Amino acid sequence: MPHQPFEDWILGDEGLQEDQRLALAGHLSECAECTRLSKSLAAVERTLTQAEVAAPAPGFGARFALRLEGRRVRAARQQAWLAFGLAGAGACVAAVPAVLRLMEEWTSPASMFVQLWIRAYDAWVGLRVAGDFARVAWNSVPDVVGPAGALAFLAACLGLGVIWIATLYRFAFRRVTEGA
Amino acid sequence: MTGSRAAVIDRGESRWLERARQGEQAAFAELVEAYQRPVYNLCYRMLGDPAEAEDAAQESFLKAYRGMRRYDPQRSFSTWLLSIASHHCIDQLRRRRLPVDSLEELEPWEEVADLGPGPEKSATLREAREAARALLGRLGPQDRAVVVLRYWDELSTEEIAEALSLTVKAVKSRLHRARKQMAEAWLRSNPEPGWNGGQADAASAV
Repeated sequence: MPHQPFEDWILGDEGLQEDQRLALAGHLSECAECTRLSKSLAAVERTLTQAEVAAPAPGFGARFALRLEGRRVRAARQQAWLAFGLAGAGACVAAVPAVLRLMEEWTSPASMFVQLWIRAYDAWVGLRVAGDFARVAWNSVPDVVGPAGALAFLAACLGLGVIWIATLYRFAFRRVTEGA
Repeated sequence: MTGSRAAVIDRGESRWLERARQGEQAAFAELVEAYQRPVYNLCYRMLGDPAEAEDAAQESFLKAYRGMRRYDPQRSFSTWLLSIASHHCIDQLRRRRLPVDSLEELEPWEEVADLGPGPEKSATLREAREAARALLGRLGPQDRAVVVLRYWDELSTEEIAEALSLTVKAVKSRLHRARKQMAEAWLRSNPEPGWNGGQADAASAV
């Protein structure tokens, strides 16, 4: 006995036309296999609809808020490590030419330490000179440009600082505060 | 069953949605409160374990929170949210890849907090829950998602297709296949004639 299209009608999700319904009823009265399938599917559907909608344990929303906060902290840490790593990598790249130049002067481990010592001393002296220069310049700015000019210079320095902080916020931290 | 969807649609959620799209966490918290049950139920039916379902539901809400700016308000929020949860659960099931060979091999259904009915009703609900779990356990991830969205969330074929990124034809085909698999599994576990005591006559299935 052919079971099609009756099997498709039994298993299908669309309603049947009246003539299809009658044809199926006629077929089911004669076909034990399709009757078993039909009854079995009815039992399956009853089982599925009897199973209630499962609910989470109380406090789901609070647990979600905690998880969200945890993810934010984790994202902030990851971003901080990324920024730190990128800065370190950039510093290493920038140091490569200096190291190469220094290596040309190193003929032995002892000379390496001597050269490093000399470079460090040069750097320290250079910083001191730069500091002295800045101090003298700072003290002489009002004499050269007047109090208004000094204030403008200070305001420009502060403005640059604000721009720097805003840039850091925009590119390094904003995504984190917006929620990860 | 009907409480899953209808209850959450008419709650003036458009206001929360708009505010949540602007990044207001409190508004999203309202959406979490409103939709936690259907999302959790979907994850529970898909994964079959309360702890995994909780984790999957939380992750689904996190994904939704991150993607709120991409959410198109013209679409149904519940369909969009259930779509996220469905895909998450399908991914989890694919990673897990635990084959289930027979209804008897399934682990006992873990208890969830029973919130009210007396012992007899609880036993009936537990039986229905275990039977439903056994039936769903026969199905592949996507077929399972189709069945859950159809029977518990009462989504239309078109909505299921949208949620699972399938064609309407594919949804119909999967639903047809899933029903056949579940009916055959039921027949195998209840082979004797008259097993259902006449509770389900043929006409009810037509």
